[in-house]
Amino acid sequence: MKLGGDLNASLVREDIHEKCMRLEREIVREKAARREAEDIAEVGLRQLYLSQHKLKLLNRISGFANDVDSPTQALHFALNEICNEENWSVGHALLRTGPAGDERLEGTDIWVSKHQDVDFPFLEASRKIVAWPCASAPGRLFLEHSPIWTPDIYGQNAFTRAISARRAGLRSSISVPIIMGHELVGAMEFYQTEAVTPSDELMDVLLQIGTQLGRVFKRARHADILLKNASTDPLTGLPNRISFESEIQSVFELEHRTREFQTAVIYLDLDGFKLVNDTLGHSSGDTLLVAMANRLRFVVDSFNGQDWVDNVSLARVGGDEFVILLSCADVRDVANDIAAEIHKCLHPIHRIGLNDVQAVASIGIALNGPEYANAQELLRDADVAMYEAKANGPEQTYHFTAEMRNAALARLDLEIELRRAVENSSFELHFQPIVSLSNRETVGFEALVRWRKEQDVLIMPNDFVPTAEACGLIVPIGTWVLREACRAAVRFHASNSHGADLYISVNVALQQFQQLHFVTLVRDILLETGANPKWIRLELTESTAATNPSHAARTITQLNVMGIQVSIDDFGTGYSSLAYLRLCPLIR
Amino acid sequence: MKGVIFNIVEEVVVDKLGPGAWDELLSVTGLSGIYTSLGSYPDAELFQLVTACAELTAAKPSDLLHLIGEESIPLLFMRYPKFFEDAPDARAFILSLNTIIHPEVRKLYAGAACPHFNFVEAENTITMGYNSPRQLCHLAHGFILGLAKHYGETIDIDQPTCMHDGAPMCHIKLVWK
Repeated sequence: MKLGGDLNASLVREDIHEKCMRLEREIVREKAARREAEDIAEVGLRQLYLSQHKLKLLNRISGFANDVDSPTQALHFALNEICNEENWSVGHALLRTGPAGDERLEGTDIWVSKHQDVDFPFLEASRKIVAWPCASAPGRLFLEHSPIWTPDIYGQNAFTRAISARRAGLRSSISVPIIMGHELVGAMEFYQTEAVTPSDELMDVLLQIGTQLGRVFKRARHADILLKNASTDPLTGLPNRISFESEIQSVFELEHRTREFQTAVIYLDLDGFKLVNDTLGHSSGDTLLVAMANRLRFVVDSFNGQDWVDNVSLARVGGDEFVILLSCADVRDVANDIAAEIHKCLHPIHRIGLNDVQAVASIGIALNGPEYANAQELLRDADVAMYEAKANGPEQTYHFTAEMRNAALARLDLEIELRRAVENSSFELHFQPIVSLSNRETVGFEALVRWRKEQDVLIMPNDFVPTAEACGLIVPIGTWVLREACRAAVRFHASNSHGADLYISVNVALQQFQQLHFVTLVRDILLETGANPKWIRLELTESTAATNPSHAARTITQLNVMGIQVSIDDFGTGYSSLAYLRLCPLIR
Repeated sequence: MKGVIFNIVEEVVVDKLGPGAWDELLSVTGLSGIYTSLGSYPDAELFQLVTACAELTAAKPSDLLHLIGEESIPLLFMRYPKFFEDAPDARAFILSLNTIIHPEVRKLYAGAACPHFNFVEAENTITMGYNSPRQLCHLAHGFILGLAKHYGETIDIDQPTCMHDGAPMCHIKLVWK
């Protein structure tokens, strides 16, 4: 019995042991099966994710391309969307120029860049590039109409941008053809800092995007042909450039025959229109343009009714550019009266949806005279005067003078030198203490930028910032200033234990502030430099904050959330209405 | 937190502390323990498990996270060899976190909240800026230890600033020997 009992117990034990072993084997199998199921699901999910995202990308770009008429806008949108989606560093568009047989792709100002200051020399080199049909991308696109992947850009024979590309840390590229029918009309090229081989699916989507963009080119070409045959601007109903040019031509010829000069060209450009376009969308931009054209028409009609005015006519000659041709005795005075009326009439706020927008004018005037050889010269001088007005704007009127032409040439030289200075970071920051009025203690420093043009030549901001603003260079310069100020703040706080709350105040220009990624850029610079947000204070001018107040309020709130304070400089120098500032969470 | 992280932590715990350890952690914390790599689970559950494990082993949570990070790398290598094949060394692997690895993770696990690192590069040195609200700099530290081992490199790791000490962000300084 006893023996039998032991045997039974040992049988039970063995049975339990066996059972445990079996269960363990089952668990291992179950685990392995779960892992395999997860692996299969992961492959499927990844595929699904990629397909959906590529499809959405294509849909977004096709949708936009269907809505816009300008190839430039469509290209810019596509570059931005693709770079964002694929996390590529640089996107740049090239356009085909030259007649058949002399065909080439030329670099443009249409680009997007994740780190504009780092990529700047490369973007500059890309603007100037000419790509002939050849064995390297993007020239190869002439020969094969499909996207080209170049894993190592430096391995190509004809890669002329190698030095600046190395400085930007770029490694590989994809060139995408823009095809209209069977014709290559342009290209997009993308650069990345890694060499991640693109999937076939991505290459296919890029090809389709190129075809969608080709349709915008096709429509634009048709529109050009139609416009050439028409004399009216379809949006505003005003005479267009072609119609205006023929009118000015006949007036010009008549006056030069009779030697009686009593004609003025009044050239005007709307400040603020581009901003509305960029921030509220093109249909809002169009709405604003029509409204402003109607105001201009009202002014011109009121002068046309006067019997001392022989003729006054208005035309739209460009996106936001209008021209008035005026003939009468005392033409200089009447032109001034018209300009003053225009400023008065454009000044009131225009409301689009929930947004208050404003488009004021910069006006240039040139008077016809014996010194002009043709009508184009007269028009050009009115344009030069308009730029002078814009530089001194807003809401200014300037008559053309010979000095302005020299100044315009000097500005061009300055712009070229400034581009070089940005490439070489030839700037310095100087710091000016900010002292509290209540206790006379230093509470911070204002960072002031200087341009070290030569070893012993230092240029003050007043002498280069206006030009930098006019040609867009203010954005990379502003980024440089912000980064250097953060570095300086870190150095200061590392070596000074006192004054833990001392901050550096940095001026932010309008174009910088209007960048889509401004908040991200500030965050990246803070992370990169290790600066504490409370050490940096951003200064906006009143007009910067007043331009598109809802965008300003949103941006300032996001900056505040990051711990950065924003204040307004030059209070009271810009707009008279301060109502919009209630929207903005500012330090006062 | 994605389930795959829980799975990896489980594997490390079982490997280091024996087959019953994970079950014990789940009993102590009262968590269900059902984690599939495809799912997302509250961050708090991971922290509960790590805290329980630290109590069980009398280790400092920071040391434990170093260990988990370090031991995870061979497991991650088994699961995702491609990430390692594309990076010839630890430096390249680390620098590809924002641009390749985390975007890939998002493709696999929709909605994965991967941290963004900021890198300042110099010769032999990378300074990583990290400011995720999860404050898992110790885990990142451990991953780097594991990468050094994986690639057979020696990396000195120093952390001059840490969010755990009230800094706005962590700076992790890596110096290659």
